[in-house]
Amino acid sequence: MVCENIQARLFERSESDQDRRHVESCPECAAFAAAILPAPLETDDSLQSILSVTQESACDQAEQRLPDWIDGALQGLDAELLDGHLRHCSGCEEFATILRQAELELPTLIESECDESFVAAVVAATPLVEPTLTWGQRFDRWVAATVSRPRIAWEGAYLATACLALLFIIPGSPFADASTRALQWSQGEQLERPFVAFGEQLTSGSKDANLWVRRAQVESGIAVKTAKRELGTLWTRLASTPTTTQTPEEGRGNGEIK
Amino acid sequence: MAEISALIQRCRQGDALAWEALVREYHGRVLAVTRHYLRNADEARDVAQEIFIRVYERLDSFRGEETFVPWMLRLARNCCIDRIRRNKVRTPEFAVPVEDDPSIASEAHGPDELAHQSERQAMLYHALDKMSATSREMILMKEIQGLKIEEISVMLKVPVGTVKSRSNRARTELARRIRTLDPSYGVG
Repeated sequence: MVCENIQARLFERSESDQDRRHVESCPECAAFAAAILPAPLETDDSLQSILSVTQESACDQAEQRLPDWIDGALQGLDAELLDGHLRHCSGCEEFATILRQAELELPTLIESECDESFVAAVVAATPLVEPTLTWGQRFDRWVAATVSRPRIAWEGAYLATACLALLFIIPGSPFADASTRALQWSQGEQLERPFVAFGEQLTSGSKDANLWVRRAQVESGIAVKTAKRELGTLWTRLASTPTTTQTPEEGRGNGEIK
Repeated sequence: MAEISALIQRCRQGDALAWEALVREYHGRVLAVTRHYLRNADEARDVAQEIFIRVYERLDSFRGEETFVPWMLRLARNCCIDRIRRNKVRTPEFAVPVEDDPSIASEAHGPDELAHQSERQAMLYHALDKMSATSREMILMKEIQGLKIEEISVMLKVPVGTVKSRSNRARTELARRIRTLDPSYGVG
């Protein structure tokens, strides 16, 4: 009775899952089903056999396009065809799942937890290395570091002394005779090249000073010459004057002029 | 995490804390690169340290026209290639046993989850190891490091279209290898 009912439902194509399980276990019903129902697997096989002859495997092509499909880069007819293929091909559907899952899990291969010993080793090693700087940056850094040193005052004084020695003391240096010339200048002597170190860049003030010295020299020279001349004139007049020498005794004694 | 440009600026001024933060932030990425190229955990660590020193030395040459990560990864790649040339010989097998490096599975929480994730990562490493060098490099740069196609194109000095096709081919190849190694991968 059960078999009859199932066979009736098989004939009407309204069988349930329970009916199918019964068909698998019952030889009589299985024979009935084989007689009236087309084998679905055979249809799939024949489809595959046709496709394998007429074109390369659709699954291979689908697999090649799946990365683009996952990225959303596949559009239009290509996307529709792949969608259609995936609906009927469990293998490609699984392949798409693998691709998606791998895409999610691959970034986790980067270590997110910090390896403290590694960080410490890198940080310990890097301060020994100077970052590459431009020449301007290097100069700025050097100036800042030099000025902030505690011994900068001593070093500055030493450097200044050395510079002064180089300029004023060492023979052959441009200001070597500066002190002598300054003395000469103060004494009013004419300088060949007053303050030689300044060379051609003499200021008008120093030129004026030089002229003033010369004028003073000339005026003093004239005064000396005039004085000498007057003295000489006087001396000559005195020498040419006839002398009437009379001793006091003579004048007082006999009253005669000799 | 502070903005990278601010961190770099501080590093240029010699701020040790900023430099430490930068190393802390990016050491995972650099180690991933060195491990992929050198295939030896100890050597990868040494080279990663060298890379960070080189990054520090060259921070001033980084002008900010490009983003920091591709610049740093290009530097890392070049360092690895230099080291490989110096070594002349690559170790034949992928020598980064995941089970010896628990830090890889850091995002898992419970012990079971940790073990499961470690297994999956080990399987991923194994699948990557079987791939060609070009495909592995594409997976490393695009999928693992998350670089854009254009950035990879600049780094590898190949056209964008070539990078795209290589990337798709590499992903397909990886998925096929995963399917061979573990057919249940991706199911639940």
